[in-house]
Amino acid sequence: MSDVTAPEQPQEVTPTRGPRIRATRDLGIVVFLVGIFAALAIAAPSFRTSGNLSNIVNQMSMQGIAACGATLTIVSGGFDLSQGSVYAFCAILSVMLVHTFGVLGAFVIAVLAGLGLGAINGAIIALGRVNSFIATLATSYVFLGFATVITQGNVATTSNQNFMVMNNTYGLTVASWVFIAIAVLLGILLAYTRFGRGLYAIGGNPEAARLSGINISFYRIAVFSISGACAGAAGIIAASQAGSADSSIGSTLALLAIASSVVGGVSILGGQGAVWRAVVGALILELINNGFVLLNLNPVYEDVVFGLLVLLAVGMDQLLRRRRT
Amino acid sequence: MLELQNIEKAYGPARVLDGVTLLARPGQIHAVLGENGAGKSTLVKIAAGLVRPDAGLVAVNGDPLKAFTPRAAREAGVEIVTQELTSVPARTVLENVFLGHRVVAVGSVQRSKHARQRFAEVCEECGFSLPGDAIAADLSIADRQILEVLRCLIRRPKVLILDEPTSSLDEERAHRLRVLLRRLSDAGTTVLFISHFLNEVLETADWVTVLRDGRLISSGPTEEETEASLINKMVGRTLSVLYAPKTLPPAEAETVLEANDIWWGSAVRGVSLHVRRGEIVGLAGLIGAGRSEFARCLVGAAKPDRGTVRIAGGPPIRPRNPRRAISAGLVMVPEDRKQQGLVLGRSVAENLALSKPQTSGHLGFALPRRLEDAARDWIRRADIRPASPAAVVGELSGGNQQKVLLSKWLACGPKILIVDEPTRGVDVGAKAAIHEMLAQAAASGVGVLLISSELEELLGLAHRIVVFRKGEVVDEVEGEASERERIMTAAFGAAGMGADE
Ligand SMILES: Nc1ncnc2c1ncn2[C@@H]1O[C@H](COP(=O)(O)OP(=O)(O)OP(=O)(O)O)[C@@H](O)[C@H]1O
Ligand SMILES: [Mg+2]
Repeated sequence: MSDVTAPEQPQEVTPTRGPRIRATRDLGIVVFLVGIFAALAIAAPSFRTSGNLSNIVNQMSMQGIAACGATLTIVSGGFDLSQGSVYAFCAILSVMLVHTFGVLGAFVIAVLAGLGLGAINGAIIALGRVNSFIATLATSYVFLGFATVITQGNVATTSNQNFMVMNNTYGLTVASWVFIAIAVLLGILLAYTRFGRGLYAIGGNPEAARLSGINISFYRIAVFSISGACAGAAGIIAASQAGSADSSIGSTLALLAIASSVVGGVSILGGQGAVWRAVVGALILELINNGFVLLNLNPVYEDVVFGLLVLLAVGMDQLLRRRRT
Repeated sequence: MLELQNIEKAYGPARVLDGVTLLARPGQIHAVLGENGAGKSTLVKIAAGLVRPDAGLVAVNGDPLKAFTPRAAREAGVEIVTQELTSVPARTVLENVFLGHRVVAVGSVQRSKHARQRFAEVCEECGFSLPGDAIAADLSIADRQILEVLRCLIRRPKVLILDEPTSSLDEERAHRLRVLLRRLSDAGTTVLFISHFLNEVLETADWVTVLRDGRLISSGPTEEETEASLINKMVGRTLSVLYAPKTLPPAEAETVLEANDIWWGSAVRGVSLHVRRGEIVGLAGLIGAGRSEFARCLVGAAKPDRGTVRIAGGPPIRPRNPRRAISAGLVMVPEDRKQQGLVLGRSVAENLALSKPQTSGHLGFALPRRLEDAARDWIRRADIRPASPAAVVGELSGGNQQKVLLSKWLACGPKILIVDEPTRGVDVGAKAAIHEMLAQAAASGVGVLLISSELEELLGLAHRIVVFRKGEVVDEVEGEASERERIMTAAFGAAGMGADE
């Protein structure tokens, strides 16, 4: 009742509060990942072989790249449902162009095409003020239409051996390295640059961001372009691994990318999340897939388990977040 | 009767309430006072079932609440107007008022005769009226505050709690609200309110409880208190709340902001004014007189239909977007910190860095550590608590959020600073600190345009006061206490006091 200088006290304890809470928040999903990893390692001896592990990274590289791009859009308060169509379009494009422009030329053009399609999304959303969910739902049909038109409904194939860059470099496939590079790059972009801060601000409170002098249209166009380029890169990897592509290959990609981000703990409300979370999410989904194969489980149940584990992961994350309030 | 016994609450390691006991009786207006972050809002949210306490008991008329849920509290007769507005912006006034109410089982509230009638009754009883079909988002911030009050009254509460209800009202509406509280209290309702206005507390409340750092400091009849005794209890030391003498800008100080014939819809009608270096110009007027809209036009947050602005001696321009104004050195601290000002889910450090001119381009590195270091300086200068750059802004108390907002804009090093209700919801100490920050900014050569609904604040800080009425400038006076009457008369117009707009 009578301590006179009381206001000074609480300040001493609090400075460490933020970081410490953040650490516990982070833990949830990582613990979950380690859990699945350990369970598989015990249940399936073949899981731990370096061949299988590098195969996992290779398998997840496509959805992983897409998920990294999706994370940026989600953090900025949007959704990109057209990633699957962009993926298919770019895959087809790279296969069709490899004859004329060579492997590198085809890849570069296809990634730029992805970037361009993404920029179209961004422009529609930013300048036309259309909700991103609706806009990309619509463009996903249009882009898929493009893909069907250029193949005339057929499967595009190539016999160019150089196109199939499956060879291992330092223990991982080229695709895996591309995935790792993109994840690191986008991770740094989101966490440590002004651009990244801007994305969090736009996702958290667009009006406050606008009044703070942030050019929202620029950010929206940029973020959807990045998302499109990621989908394009993932598509090229898919094409190069199969040596062929058709317009149906990306049908599940967009939702898978969003699911990966969300499982990793990126808030679908925008303004919260990190690229590493998308990577963790994609890895968890891939491990489930891998577990079914290794344990010889009936794949009929895979989707059910998949869905339940998504719920479990998200629920656990929520629980850990809520405990502190 | 509302009883709170030994309430304890901690968020992580931070203890917010430490065994607080409070008793509010019917027929008595009970005020809760305390510094920003003292735990007042947390306490009343617990009473209304919005926050679950770690320990303690809440009872209404002797019956303990069955559960700490909004629903249980509501069933017990407790209604609360929270500090932050909670109306659904996209829905109508009527829909908001009857949100979760059982008056209309099926179908639209809008079309229910019964609902309309009930709404009209309550408006009649309480002396405030709002258009039932208006969309909540289109109302002024004052009207949205009134909407929240109506939403509580529609349920005829036994206990009515209001968290800083007058902070976004003008003096006239605030007066009417106080009259209403007295009437409700006389009719047997238990009224509990939080306020940072000491004169309001001394005038209105019968009983006053003071919290400090989550602990109960005192609880007793208001007659025994004075402004000084309350401040002493709140901050633990004596504090001068008098305004420092003003430093006048030199006579030859050049004009840094010149607005010429600004028009915006029907809210701003041909306003011209100028601000000189080092000058504080106050904008007086009722809420809805167009002051905020005018300010938004100046920075380009709203696009004026007509008129030009000259910033820091530049060419006259028609404001288009805030980016241009900011890079020219003109910034505005908006009135609605939650919607327009802060990114609530992000840290203090990130919010402080948000509006810095984008000198190093988009790819410039913004390392969290460096942002936090830069933030520490402002946290110290503005006395933001908790003093942690990593704290999430949405978890700060209202007054501390306001300090973050002001610091964010001062951190850009503006040439002209427009502040819209800068001390809304801050405690006496922080208010003095903010006044000091503004006076200092002016003394260092910043031109300041100050919008405030508190006449005292305008008279205490501004060198010159421009009075708005219905979107037009109706008078301009020196910032002298003796001009009080003239400002009021000009703001209300010929109809005089008491007329509603
Ligand atoms: N959800 C939350 N998570 C963490 N800390 C919180 C949360 N809500 C409030 N706090 C902390 O609890 C303390 C008390 O907050 P409260 O809002 O009750 O203060 P107050 O007395 O109402 O202040 P003000 O006058 O500024 O409104 C503050 O230090 C605040 O940071
Ligand atoms: Mg409060």
